[in-house]
Amino acid sequence: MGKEKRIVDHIRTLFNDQKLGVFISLRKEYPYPTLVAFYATPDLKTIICATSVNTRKYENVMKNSHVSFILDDCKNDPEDFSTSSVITAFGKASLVAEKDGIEELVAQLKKRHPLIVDFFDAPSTRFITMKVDRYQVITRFQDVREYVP
Amino acid sequence: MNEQVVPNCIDLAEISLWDKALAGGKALSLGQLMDNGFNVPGGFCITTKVYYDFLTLTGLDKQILLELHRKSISEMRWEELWDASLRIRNLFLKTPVPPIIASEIKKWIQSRLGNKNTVIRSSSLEEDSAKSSFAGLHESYVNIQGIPDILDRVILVWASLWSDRALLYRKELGLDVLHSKMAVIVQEFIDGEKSGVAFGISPFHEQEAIIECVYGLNQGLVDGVVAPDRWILDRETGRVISYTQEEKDFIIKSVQGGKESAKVEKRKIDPGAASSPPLSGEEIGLVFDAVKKSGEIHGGPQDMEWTFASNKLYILQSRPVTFVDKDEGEGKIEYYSKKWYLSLHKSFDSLIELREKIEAEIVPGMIQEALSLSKMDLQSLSNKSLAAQLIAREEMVQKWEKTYWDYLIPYAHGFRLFGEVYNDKMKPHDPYEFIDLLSTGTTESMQRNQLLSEVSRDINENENLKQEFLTSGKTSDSTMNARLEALFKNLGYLDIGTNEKRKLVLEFLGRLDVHPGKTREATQRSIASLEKEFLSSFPAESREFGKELLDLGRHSYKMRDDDNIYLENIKKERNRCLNEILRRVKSRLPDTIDKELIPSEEMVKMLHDSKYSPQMPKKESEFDGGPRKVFSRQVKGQPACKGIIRAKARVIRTRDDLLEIKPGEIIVCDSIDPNMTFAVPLCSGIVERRGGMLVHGAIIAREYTIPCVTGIPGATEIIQTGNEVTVNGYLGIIIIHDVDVI
Repeated sequence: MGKEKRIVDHIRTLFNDQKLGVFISLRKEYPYPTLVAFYATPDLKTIICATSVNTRKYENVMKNSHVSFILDDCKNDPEDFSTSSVITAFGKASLVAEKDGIEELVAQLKKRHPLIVDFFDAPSTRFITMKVDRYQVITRFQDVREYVP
Repeated sequence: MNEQVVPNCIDLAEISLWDKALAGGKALSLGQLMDNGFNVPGGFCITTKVYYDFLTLTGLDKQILLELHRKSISEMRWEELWDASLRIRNLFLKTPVPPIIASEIKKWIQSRLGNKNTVIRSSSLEEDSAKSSFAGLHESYVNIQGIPDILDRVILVWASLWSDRALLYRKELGLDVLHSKMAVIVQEFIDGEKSGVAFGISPFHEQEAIIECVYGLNQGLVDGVVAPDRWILDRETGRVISYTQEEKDFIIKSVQGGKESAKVEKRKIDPGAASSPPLSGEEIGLVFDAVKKSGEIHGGPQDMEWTFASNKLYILQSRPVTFVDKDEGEGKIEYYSKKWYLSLHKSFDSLIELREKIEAEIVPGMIQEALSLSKMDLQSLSNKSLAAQLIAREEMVQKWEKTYWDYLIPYAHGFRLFGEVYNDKMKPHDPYEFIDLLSTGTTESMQRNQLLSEVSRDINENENLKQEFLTSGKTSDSTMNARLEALFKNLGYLDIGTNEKRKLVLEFLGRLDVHPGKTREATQRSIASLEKEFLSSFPAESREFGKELLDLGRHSYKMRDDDNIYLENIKKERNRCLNEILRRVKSRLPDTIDKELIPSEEMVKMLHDSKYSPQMPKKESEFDGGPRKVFSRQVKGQPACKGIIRAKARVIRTRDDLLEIKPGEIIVCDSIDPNMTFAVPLCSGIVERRGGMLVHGAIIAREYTIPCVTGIPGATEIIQTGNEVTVNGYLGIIIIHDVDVI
């Protein structure tokens, strides 16, 4: 298996295994992290999550579309220095008021998180689609690679 | 134990001590009685494994977890627990039993019970242990026939593991709520001619035992609808020490195709039976021997239910005695440790009886009390008489508050019972859909709001009248004066005594005229169709019951609001007394004192002693002293009325704050009661500390279709008047926008 495929598979596996991730928008000069339920497309080009209107991240994305998204598989033990990884996606986000054009993405998001379908269906909920420009993959604590989907 | 051999169902006759974790306390006890030759109706136990499989195969386990994690259980008020319980019950109702489970239970019903009528009983793991009885907390269903009906009841018994009462009891005992499990007993139904309970030990005298008996089935005795005859016996010999005969009016009997909620009903007792003891001396001996022997088998005195059918004694259940509240009740025997929340579970018949008492005695009594107090001229009283009057009025308030808790709060179960039946029948997506059917807009508070709206419209149309009123406190139009006086009387909660206060009310009316609020008349049509659908879900022979239940639900729902108004009218008379005292001692009070917070006993001391300075109670805060370092910015509560709004907050701390509300503001308060809801038409959203879908704030929000979130801890402390707030009534979230650390 080539190095690129291994990295892509690693990203895909982590994005498939983890149900929640940290979505980071910008608020004034600070990064603004929030925990979200998400779905990533198999080609890793798009990540979708949801928010209620009037939240901080809703306001932030309205003002500045530059966002990032972080996942990790740390187990909180000494092995983390050698076995765990942290993946950050960088890209641009947009808010979708209606489901027009993203029905399939929303369906996948609901399928992945059936317990919070009521949240997705609430009239006050908006979907955030993030177009990923690149991934940063950190393994063995200090190995850093980048991948452009 | 190897997982492959864990049984789904066990015959009651084959249950052994090893099966306790699978069969629960009640089933194990019955198995032991059968093993020792007792005559126990045959049947089987659906083990906790099946319950566990049902939860995991359908994903209900995760949904329950999510529901109970909305808020820490230890912080939930019972109304919030009731809400959580209702939603969980609805999840059970909407979730089909997987075929693999349904076919297994069917197989056991067919092989063990055939076409016999059955009783479905709970048998949870903690149930009927020596430390906790769970008596009356989980559901049982009597006289159920046919596999579909039995399966439906099994699901309801499973769901009752999450009933409000069961959750409260577990919370009180410190039991693990999230990992509770339930087994279910399916047993042959015995149509007893006389039934009762026996206690191997009396709560009052250790040397005595007790037998109680009613004609017919036990349900009347257990629900408290039918008073039993009672025998006190010597615990060792069984000698009858005393016998108390009760007046017998009713009997609970089985019926075929009866009311939907129960296959038993209350009937008038035969005149011959009414005057004779239901048990002969020989039968008393049989019951006594049984409860004594059961105590020996189980290693402690038992609380046993039994019935006689065709002269044969059947033991229905036996559990350890877990009383005793020796201090409760004068001469009245309280068998279980009767916690207040047990009174929330009232049967239809007992609710109807309660309604009669409320309509005939309690409400007229409250109205009359307030009226007669209002006639007294307090200004003419001496200081000594005024102090005596205040003490007397405080006692009256306490008396009526006790009545409120003893009768009116339990009566609110009327609309909860309706909600349960509605959800059972209709299985709606929204478990609160039933509230639409109950809300008829005829509460005292809605009528007051209507009057408020009409007067505000009329006086604001006539600028001259308005100016006259603002100048002199009266108008030249006698009809308008009378209407205004009626309005001020209706707003008694505000203690409108001075012209200054009247002007504030008039300014409020001006704002109300601009922003009169919008009630939900547009939905009346859909209410009519809901009602039709609900009643159509009953078979023709029991449709009348559906109508009676709806009527009870509506009355109970209306009373939930009105009782607060009646009680407040009595409190208003107490307050009138307080105000008169305040008028007399005002010059001795520093301006810094909040006069509303001076305790009555301090007022009395001030009247008696012209030099006395009142001691003020300390106000407790959610936060420690010192500069604030922790700020709440987004808080999850409970969605109580759909919609979303972003607006300025108006925090309500005192009654007068209500008059300050500007159109479109969001009311933020500790708890709304119907006396405060006159201000609701002005506001655009409601945030309340008290949680629940059926608290007054939630009820009035639905009447005016205003987004509402309840159950926000410390709401009036984390939000300040003027804060910009979003109320998301879809998700139960509030966002405070101008608390931004970064």
